Amino acid sequence: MKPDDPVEHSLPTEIAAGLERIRSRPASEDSVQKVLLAAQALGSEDVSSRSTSKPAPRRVFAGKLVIALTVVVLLSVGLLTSRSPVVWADVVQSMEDVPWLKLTPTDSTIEFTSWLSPSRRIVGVRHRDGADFVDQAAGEHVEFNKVNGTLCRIPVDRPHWPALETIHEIITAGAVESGSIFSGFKVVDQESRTVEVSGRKWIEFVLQLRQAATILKMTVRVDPESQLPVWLDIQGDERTTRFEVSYPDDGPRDIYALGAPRDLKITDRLPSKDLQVVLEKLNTAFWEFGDYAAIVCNERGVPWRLIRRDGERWRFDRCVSTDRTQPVPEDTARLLEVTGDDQWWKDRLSEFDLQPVFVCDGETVYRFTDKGERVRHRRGGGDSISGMIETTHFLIEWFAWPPHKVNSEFTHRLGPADDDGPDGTLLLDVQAVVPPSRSLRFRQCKLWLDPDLDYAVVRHEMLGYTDLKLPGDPYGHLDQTNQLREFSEFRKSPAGHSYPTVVHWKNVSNKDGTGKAHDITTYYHLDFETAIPDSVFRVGAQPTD
Amino acid sequence: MPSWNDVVREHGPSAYRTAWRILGHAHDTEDVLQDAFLEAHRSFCSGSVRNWRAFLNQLVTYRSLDRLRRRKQSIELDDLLTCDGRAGPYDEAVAREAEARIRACVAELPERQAAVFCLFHFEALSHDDIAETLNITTNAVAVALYKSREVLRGLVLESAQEEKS
Repeated sequence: MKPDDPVEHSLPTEIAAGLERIRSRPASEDSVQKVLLAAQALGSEDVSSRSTSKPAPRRVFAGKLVIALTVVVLLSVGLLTSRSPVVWADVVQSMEDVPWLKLTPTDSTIEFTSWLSPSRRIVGVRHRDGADFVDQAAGEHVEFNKVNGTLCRIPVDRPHWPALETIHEIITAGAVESGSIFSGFKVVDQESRTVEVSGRKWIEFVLQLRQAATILKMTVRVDPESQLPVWLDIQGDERTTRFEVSYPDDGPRDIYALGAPRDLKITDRLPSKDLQVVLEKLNTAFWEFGDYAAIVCNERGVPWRLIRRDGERWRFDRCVSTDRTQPVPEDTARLLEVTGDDQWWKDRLSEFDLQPVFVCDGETVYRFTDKGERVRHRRGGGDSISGMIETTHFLIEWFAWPPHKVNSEFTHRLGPADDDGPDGTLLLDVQAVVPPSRSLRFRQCKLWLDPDLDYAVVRHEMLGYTDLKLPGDPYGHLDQTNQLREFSEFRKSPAGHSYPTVVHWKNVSNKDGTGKAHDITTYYHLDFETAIPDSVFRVGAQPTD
Repeated sequence: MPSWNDVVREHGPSAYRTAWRILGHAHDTEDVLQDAFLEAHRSFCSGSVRNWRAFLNQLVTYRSLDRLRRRKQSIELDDLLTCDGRAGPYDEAVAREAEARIRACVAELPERQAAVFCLFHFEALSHDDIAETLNITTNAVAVALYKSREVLRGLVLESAQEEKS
């Protein structure tokens, strides 16, 4: 069994044992050698004679080989294609051979200059708010924040080097939001063309970069002689930014060379091993949780909510009684007695009209107004659609497993819970360390984790929460600066991840203007079995922005 | 830039292993590898590959899954010749049957789910490595992995019930 995969434990014994055998069954060395020899023969200039003296294991293989070589030869002399003489791979190779690349925006009002050393796997960026120095090989990212006067060592989220996309990611991330270096943009399309300017020919490569629903177009002009870029254009939704590319012999060796004061001490924010384990669970369980339909209600029975999730798609509906004269069904008083009786809720669902509040089609979240008008609320970005905290944080799996990453603006302390926490829990205390003038989503977040539930969150306190103007507040009581929720009656999803079926919202402010606070309890009935049709996540024609 | 022989020498054995684990059949593995290397060599000549490990892994995984879907499920003599000798003939036959059932179920999975499942459970790759290999996000890996396990669990149970009946 894979030692680091607790999920494999959840598979039936028969499957787990079969997988172990598949992994451990040895291949025939003769067969391996036969294949490798035949493959190496492809690189030989005299393949046909080798094929004769040492026949390939399959006749069809030799036939394909001849065809392949013919295609390669024709391609090499340009008979089958009219593409430019420089291919993108040549440019990549040329850039990897230079000690440093320096990218400077032509618009002097943009403060963003970056240095890249492909061979050292180092990225240095100087921008308006400070600087970043990323050593991919060491897995370290040192961030200098000029505004906060801080210098922090944080983890490198994902190694992307030497992928060429990294260059794009750095440029685009820097242009959009300083400090966000690896942003997950991917090249989804590319083409090349030859252009002539004042009698001189250049090669231009046009790349389409995509991150969820965000598409950027990048144009790179390349000198055909050196095969190196001379400038790059990044075209987003609203503007195009040009960067000139130069190739200095030397570049920044550390964060201080990028402008950080030498007397500023580096604060180490690399997570401890215990914290790493907890963060790993928080960051994976949300995604592995599984697909479901959930009926949500409060103790008064109305209003009800219906939530459906399928991978990265989800939908949140408000349930409105079809019988307007009877806003509260007679038997909703049974609610507390029938918690867990899923069939009862399924039967009652037909008594309600469903009014969408949010629909996420996997790339974009659409919000629906009370009048049923559709508005594009948020496009995908960051790690994924889960980056949209204000629209995913009402999913029940988010309560138990809120994805969370370490950054320089917060400290993370993990230890035994204090006296006000549930018995036996650990407390993950996340506190902002930047001045209040810095706009943050929250100033402090306290998560009480239960080791018996594989570190699921059982209590969640958010202080200084600022995303208060949430249109279409799905529960109708999330507009609080300080929020405290307690979770109970845990069950397990089919994937083995615990989730609460009861959520206690503490001290919810009253919306009737009296200023009184009270507690609300919501109940979640999850159905993991009923198939959810794709049509649920479609929103039709272009929405209004 | 590595030479073609470097590519074959460095990444060929792991590519073979990937196909072998998915197919469990020497001749099929050889066929898939031959096709895959032909395609890889074309890419080598065009210079379009930056990460050979990921490229070959993706290519071989998808080609192997194609072959797995097409072939007749059977246990052939040459497979038995690679028996590791740790189990008796009966146990060996039972174990091979279980493996064949898993592979048959994998063949029923949608393409991406099957690829993610194989790279995770057969090759023990991390989520990040799978994402890089298949050019998808780590979140997509997690989702595909979850779904593949669910489907597989159901298919294996279904298959076992059919046998009993």
